[in-house]
Amino acid sequence: MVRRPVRAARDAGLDGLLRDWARAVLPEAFPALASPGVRGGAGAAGAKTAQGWTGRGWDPLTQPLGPAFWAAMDAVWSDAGLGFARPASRPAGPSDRAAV
Amino acid sequence: MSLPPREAAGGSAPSRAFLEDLYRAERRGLFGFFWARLGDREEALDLVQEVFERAWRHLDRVRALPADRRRAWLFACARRLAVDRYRHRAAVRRAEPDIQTASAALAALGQRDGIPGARAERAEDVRRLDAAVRALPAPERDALALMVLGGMNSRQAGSALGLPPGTVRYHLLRARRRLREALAGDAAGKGVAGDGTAAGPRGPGRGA
Repeated sequence: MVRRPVRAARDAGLDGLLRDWARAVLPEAFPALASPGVRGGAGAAGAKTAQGWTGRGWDPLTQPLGPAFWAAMDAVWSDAGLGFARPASRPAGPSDRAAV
Repeated sequence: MSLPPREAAGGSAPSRAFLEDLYRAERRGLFGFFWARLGDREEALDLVQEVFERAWRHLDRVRALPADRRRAWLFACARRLAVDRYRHRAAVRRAEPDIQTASAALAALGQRDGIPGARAERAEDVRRLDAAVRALPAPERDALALMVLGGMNSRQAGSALGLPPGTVRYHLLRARRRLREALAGDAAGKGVAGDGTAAGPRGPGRGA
C-alpha cells in the first residue's frame, strides 16, 4: 500500500497556491479614496473613480474639494501597510481608458 | 441626498482622515467580499468605492458607532450592494455570481512577475485553483475570500459576515478540503492517481 502524502506538505502546497492566487486576484493598487462629486481629480485614480463612484448623483459644482484634499487622497496610493503601492509604470486599466 | 453643510463643502479634515483610515482598514476585506460574491475584480473595486460613498453620506452615523461595529455597518452595506448587483445582472443573465474561467488577472499572472516559461506551470495551477474557488459553496467562498484576499482573521471575518468565528473557521476548513480534493481530482485527470499517489512522472511530492 502506498502511503498518502503528508497532510502538512499538502497544506503547505495549498497555502502557497492560495498566496499566488491572492496575488493574482487582488488589485496591484487600490484606487485612491476619491471624494464623491469630484471627477478625475487624482489622475488615473480619479479617472477610475469617476467611472466608479463619483458619477451617481454627486454634483461636483456644489461639492468641491480642494487640491490639498486630493494630495492627501493621493497618499493612499503609497500606503505600504498592505503591501500595495502604485507602480510608476502602472498601466491604465479599462476604466481609466474609458474615462479619458 | 443631503449632507451636513461642512461635508457639502468638502468635509472637515477630521472627517477626511476618518474616512481615509476606514478605507485603508477595510478596503481589502470588502474587495474580498465582493470578489467572492461577484467574481469580477473591476466590479468589486467599483463596489468597494460605492460602500465608501455611502459611508461618506452617513459619516456622522458611522463615526458614532463603536469601532467594532463599523465593520459590520460597512459589510451590511456591502451585502445590500451585492444583492442590488445580482438583480441588475439578472436583467441580462442568471442572478448567480458569474463563475468565469480564468480572469484577465490570472491570465496575466506570469506577466506581472515577469516570469514567463519557468512559472507557466505554476500559473496554470493557480488558474485551476481559481476555478475551484469559484465553484465553492457561497459561505465557504465568502470565508476563504475574506481570510485570504481580505487578510482577516476568523474573528474579523465573523464580524463582517455576521457569523461566529468558529463558524467562519468551519467554512474555511471545508473550503480548504474541497480545494485539495478539486486539485487532486485535476491532478488525477493529468495522470496522478486520485489517492494522491504518483501514476506517472508528474507526481512530485506524492507517494512514498
